[in-house]
Amino acid sequence: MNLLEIDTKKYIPKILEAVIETWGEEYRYILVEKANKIKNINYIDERGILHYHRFLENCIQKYLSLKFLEEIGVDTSQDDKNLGLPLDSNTKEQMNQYFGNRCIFSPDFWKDAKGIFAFDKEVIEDFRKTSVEEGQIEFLNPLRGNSEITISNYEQFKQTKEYSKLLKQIHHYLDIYKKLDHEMKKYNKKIQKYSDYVDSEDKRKERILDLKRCELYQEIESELPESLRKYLDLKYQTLEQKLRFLFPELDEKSYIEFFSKKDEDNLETETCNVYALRLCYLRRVGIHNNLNIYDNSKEKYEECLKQPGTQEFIPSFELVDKITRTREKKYEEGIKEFIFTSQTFLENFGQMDNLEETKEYVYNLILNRTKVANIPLADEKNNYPAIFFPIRPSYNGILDLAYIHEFIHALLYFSLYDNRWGSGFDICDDDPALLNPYRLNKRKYERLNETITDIYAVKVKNILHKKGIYLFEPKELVNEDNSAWNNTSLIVRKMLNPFLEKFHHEVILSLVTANYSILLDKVGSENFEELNDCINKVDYLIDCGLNLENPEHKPELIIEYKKEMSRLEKIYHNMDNRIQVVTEAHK
Amino acid sequence: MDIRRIIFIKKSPFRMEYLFLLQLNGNENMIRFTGLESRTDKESINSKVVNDTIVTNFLEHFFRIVSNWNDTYINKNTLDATTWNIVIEYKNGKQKEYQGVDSYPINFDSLERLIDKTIKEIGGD
Repeated sequence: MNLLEIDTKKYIPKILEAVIETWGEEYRYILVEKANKIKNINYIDERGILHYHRFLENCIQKYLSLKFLEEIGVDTSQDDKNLGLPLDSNTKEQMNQYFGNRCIFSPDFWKDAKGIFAFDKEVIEDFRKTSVEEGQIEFLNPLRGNSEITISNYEQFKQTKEYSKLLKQIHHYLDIYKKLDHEMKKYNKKIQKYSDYVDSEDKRKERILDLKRCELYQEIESELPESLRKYLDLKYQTLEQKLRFLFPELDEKSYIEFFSKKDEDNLETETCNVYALRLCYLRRVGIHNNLNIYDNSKEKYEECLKQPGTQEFIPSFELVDKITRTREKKYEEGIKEFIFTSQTFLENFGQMDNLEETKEYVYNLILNRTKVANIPLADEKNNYPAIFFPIRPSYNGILDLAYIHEFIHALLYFSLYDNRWGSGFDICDDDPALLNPYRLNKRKYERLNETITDIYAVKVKNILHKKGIYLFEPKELVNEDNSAWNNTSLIVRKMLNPFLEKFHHEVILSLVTANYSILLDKVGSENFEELNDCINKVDYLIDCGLNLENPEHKPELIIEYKKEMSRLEKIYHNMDNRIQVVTEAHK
Repeated sequence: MDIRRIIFIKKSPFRMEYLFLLQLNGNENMIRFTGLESRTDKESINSKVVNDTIVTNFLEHFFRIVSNWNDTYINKNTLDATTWNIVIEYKNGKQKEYQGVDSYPINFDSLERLIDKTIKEIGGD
């Protein structure tokens, strides 16, 4: 597994086979054709890599903790062996007994006189005798099941055979720890490429943004208040120093910008944080050295304003406006350059039409963390579905499922007029008539479509994993708990299962052809609409906190849920009735 | 500052709701957060008491990052939307809110990095 070189394209044939196995061989031709149109954009999200690196460190910690306990003979069978999940509380307690309440298999760990380390040669040499002995006693008493050993009788205890036996045992534990610690270091070295990558990308970004900060300064320098310019020239020798002072970060509003017209207008009505940040500015320009970082009151600010010389450092609204506009423009230019010149972007953009227009379009999709999108390629006069799949901070343990979910969306993509598009039962549109009546930030068919996509994604993932095919992550890191997938609830998935089983052929045919009349003719469009509404309602109840395992928590939601379940039963009954009536009529 | 609390919530499709909450109680300031890696509500919300330096540093950067943001960022032309929401509550009862659906201010990443850094500083994730 190398997260820096993920090539999702190579997984598509395997996923496609599992989709065909789930939906039916009769759809092979159309599915292969649709899959061929999908564009995969595998750029790297540094923050995602950083979090995944931490996840891997946590996994190795769990692996080595379990291995340690097993090697010293502790039963760990109750612990979930999935390394992506935290240690079971009992196991954690066992570890605490041996090592104190610390993450021992971590690169940041340093030994002190706690747990078995109180008997470690280096610790004995480095720590005060009393701390070492206190640590040893603290470890020995629970191990012996009493608290008989004290500082005063410890020397005496050390002369006993029992002590010699325990010491031998503890040294054996320390040997096991050393062996596992070596294993941890070896593994961490292996995954260091991730933190190295993030560091180098951070530096690359910093270099780009530093140049943009210089450009910003050059553009506004001549317009700065004279006192401020003189102050900067006097206090700072280099441009870099001046920049650090005036624009410490390009992505954050600088202190001088808090003298804007908007901030002035909001001073009385909104918040006092503007006072705090203006006082920061005054402190930084050195005319009010007596201010401390906690000064933030209106009174303090007004007191400063009255002092001679202060007003000369205060910029005009026009200047502040120009600074803000220029800084934001420079920051955007910097971020664009950072993305456009990244190795992964260049490699991925190769599969596009190479037009500036498309590049800009893709940049905006990346900025908005898009997962699946419609990409109009100008030179081909065609629209394509695209999957954006960087490793994100929340994807650990579920990379296969996350990608399969997006793949199904892309597979069921359809293009409409005016660059409008949809996938499955959902149309990506802000038409008010197509809003979810219970959750206005969702579309009418969005939750139904997401639930169906999840049901199939889980099936496809299970097929692959049962065959031993793991795509992005090795088996031991994969979280197979499907309820942990938070996109849609198991409750709504369960509601839709009978529908998908009974009308499998009609559902799949409608989805792959984007011709819904096949399904609607079969079940009746009014019944389908009712089913969609029922799903939206229950999904809303879940969002409000419906908890079937704890009916006493918000019982009013349980009552509503039960009503919806009766309604669902009626909907399925109506669908059956309709089929019967239509069949009779055909006879 | 006259702030009572700052709440940041992000709901992305593939994980449990992410929460970062800074509560300013005068004598005792507290940060509550869900681990970035947690995916089920079985995993508890962490709470840490934080000192004034951490709070002041966080607030200074926080306001410098968000103060030019629009109130809403909405992108409806998307699947698997992530929703986010920031509420700043003041002691006088006023509140300021920023929210978004699959659309972000250009420096949104800076806010998330600030939160990561703060959590790391208090010995969180």
